[in-house]
Amino acid sequence: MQRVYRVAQREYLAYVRTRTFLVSALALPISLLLAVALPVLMESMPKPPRTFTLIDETGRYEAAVVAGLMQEGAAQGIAIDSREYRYVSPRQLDLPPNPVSQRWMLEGAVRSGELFAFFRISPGAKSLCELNYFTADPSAEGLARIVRRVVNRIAVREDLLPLIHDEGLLTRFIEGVPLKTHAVTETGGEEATIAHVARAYAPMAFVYLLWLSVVMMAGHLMTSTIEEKTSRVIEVLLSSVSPFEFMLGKLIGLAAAGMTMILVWIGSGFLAFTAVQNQTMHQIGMGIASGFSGVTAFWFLGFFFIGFLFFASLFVGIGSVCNTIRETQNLTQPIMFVLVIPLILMPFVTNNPDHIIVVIASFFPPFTPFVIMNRIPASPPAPLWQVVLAALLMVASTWLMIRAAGRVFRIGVLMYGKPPTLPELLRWARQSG
Amino acid sequence: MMAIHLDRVRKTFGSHVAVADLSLAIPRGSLYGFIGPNGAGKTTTLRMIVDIIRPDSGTIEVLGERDPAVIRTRIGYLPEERGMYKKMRSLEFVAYIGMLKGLRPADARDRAASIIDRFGLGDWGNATVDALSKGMQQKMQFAATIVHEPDLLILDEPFSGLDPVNIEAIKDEMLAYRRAGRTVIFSTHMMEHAERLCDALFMIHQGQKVLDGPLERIKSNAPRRAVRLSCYGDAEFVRHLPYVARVREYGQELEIFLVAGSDPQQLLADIVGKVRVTTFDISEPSLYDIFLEMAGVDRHERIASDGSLQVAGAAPPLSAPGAPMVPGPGDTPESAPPGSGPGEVS
Repeated sequence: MQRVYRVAQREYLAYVRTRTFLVSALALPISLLLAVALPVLMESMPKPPRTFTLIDETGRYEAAVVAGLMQEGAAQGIAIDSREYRYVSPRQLDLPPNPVSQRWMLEGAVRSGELFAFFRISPGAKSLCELNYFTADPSAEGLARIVRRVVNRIAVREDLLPLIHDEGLLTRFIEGVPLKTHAVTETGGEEATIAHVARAYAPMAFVYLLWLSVVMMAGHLMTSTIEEKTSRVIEVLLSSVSPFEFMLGKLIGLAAAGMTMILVWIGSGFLAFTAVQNQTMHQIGMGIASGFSGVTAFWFLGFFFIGFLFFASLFVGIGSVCNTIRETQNLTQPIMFVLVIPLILMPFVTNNPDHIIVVIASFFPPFTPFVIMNRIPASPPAPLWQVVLAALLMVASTWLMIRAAGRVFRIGVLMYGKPPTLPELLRWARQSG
Repeated sequence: MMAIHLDRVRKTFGSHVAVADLSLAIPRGSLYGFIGPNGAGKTTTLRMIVDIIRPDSGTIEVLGERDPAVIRTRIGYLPEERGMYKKMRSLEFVAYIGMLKGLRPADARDRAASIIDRFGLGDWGNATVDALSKGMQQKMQFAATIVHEPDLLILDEPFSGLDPVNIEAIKDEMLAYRRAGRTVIFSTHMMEHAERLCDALFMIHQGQKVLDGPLERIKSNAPRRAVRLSCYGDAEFVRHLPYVARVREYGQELEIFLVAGSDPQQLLADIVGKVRVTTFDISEPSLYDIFLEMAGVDRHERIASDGSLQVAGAAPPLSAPGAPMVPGPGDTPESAPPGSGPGEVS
């Protein structure tokens, strides 16, 4: 066991000191930092305000609408999505009296960029009036929504006040029925925030991390095994430790390195979410954190470690029978295919954690860690017996996988030349050694 | 006491028989050579002894133990194909192997440093392996082999690729090990190394043992078929004698090789009177001659495990005193009772 530890220690240090590890460990925090910093930067950069104007062909609403827009802040600029929209009176634009040439001229101004947009209130056939929005960028709906709200309020009030006479009633009419969303949690009903969304998707993020680290480790594991083989250092090692001890040490060392990477990621994520004085980011961070109780964290780390070992032993077995990375491709392709499935299933699992297919997938070892990690904090959460059964199945199948890989490793690592076919590999894996 | 005891060990790779029912005993404290042509099964045998590969059948006992896990820490193994981690510091590599062999980390580091110093590589301990010259790498690798002071040293082609100075350094280490009462086994296809170093040797050809035992016994039992002749007169006729295989000329001297089974006395009788003989020397065969003969020149010949030559269907060589009577053609090692050899070596 001490020898396994020595091998694990060397493998761990050898991997952690590689440039690949450093780059991978830093890539996520850096991109996270950029994601946080970029919007802040963009907000702080001054942008010229966009201007718009409004023409009232009915002649009934203009004054009230302009007053309403001023209330929204249109004189200094209405802030929408970090842009400012400023109202310009049509009188400042020196427009011709003829509506057709007016429109022609305004469209020209929009086209040239002088104006961002203009609105035209015209009499409606069945409605009170019609609001037309002319812009070069119809996807910018924020401004149109605000203007519509103002025009709607004014027009409805103008037309209904003579009939209802009750200002309060009228206001309630116009505002309509309010909608408030509540998230039901263990602590009771709270108003839904982005924190709740973050919490629901946190396990998914964790599963992606497992997936990423498995895929990244696979390359390193196969390269290092092939290097040991082609540099013939393997013979010296195998005269000192048994192939099984050696392989086990290698797997444990790399699993520890994989977990180190995850911890670096989680740690830097935690720092980013707490350090940044951004309300939204902070809420997301709190949401993720609230999703992980001690028990959940225990299951996650456990499933992460065992899931990592499961796939790592597959890859180390493949690495041991190949002499170049190119040779590994034929054998890794089916594994990659299997690995992609839980990734595709992920949103389905999050949304239907108790679906029969999801429950079955929880007990299929290659999918188990990915699926069950999503189900533990889901609502409804996976029953404890299912989690325990999945854990037992996973431990057993990982043990079998390591033993089979050990048998293949023992033969493969001293074999040079053409890699074996899949049937040959399976025969080796079944042989007792 | 035997350092190694193989009993009817067999290993096949597919349809190829790498080692065929090999029985061998190597006494403790000996410097033992494994010789044989390339592909004879030397490396396979050594790998089975260090438990890198397992035999298909038969038993292997090393230092009195059957369980390889127990004796791994007491063996030092230098594989034929040298290999180290290229990006590791060389001192770290030597210490790492020491730790795998059961040394405590601090001890491993100290011993690694002192061996590297002794080899004159003290300044290179902190260099990564790929910064070392090939010769230095070989010495580092040897340092890693002996860092834990093993009781049994197994070296597969230890001299290949080394310059004469380093060959001497490695030889000195091997001799020092033997003097300390430890066992050293090495394989080589360079006969002069085996001839000068070994106490005893084992010769393997096509997976089968053709010879093993103490060096002097092997040499004294080998047929003396080379005659050094100096004479006055025309000795050309010697070439045409029916029992002369070939003749090598050295100016004033001829080296005459006789065909298997012939008697040098016959040659003497045939030349006396025709030329004036000044020297007639029935020389001791070199290991190289024995090797060639065993390995390929005449495959009908086998040497029994006690070191005596058995020549199928021919008279016993008179020049090999103590050789047993000639057995029948079928009585080759394949049909000899297994295990008859090992115990009789020491």
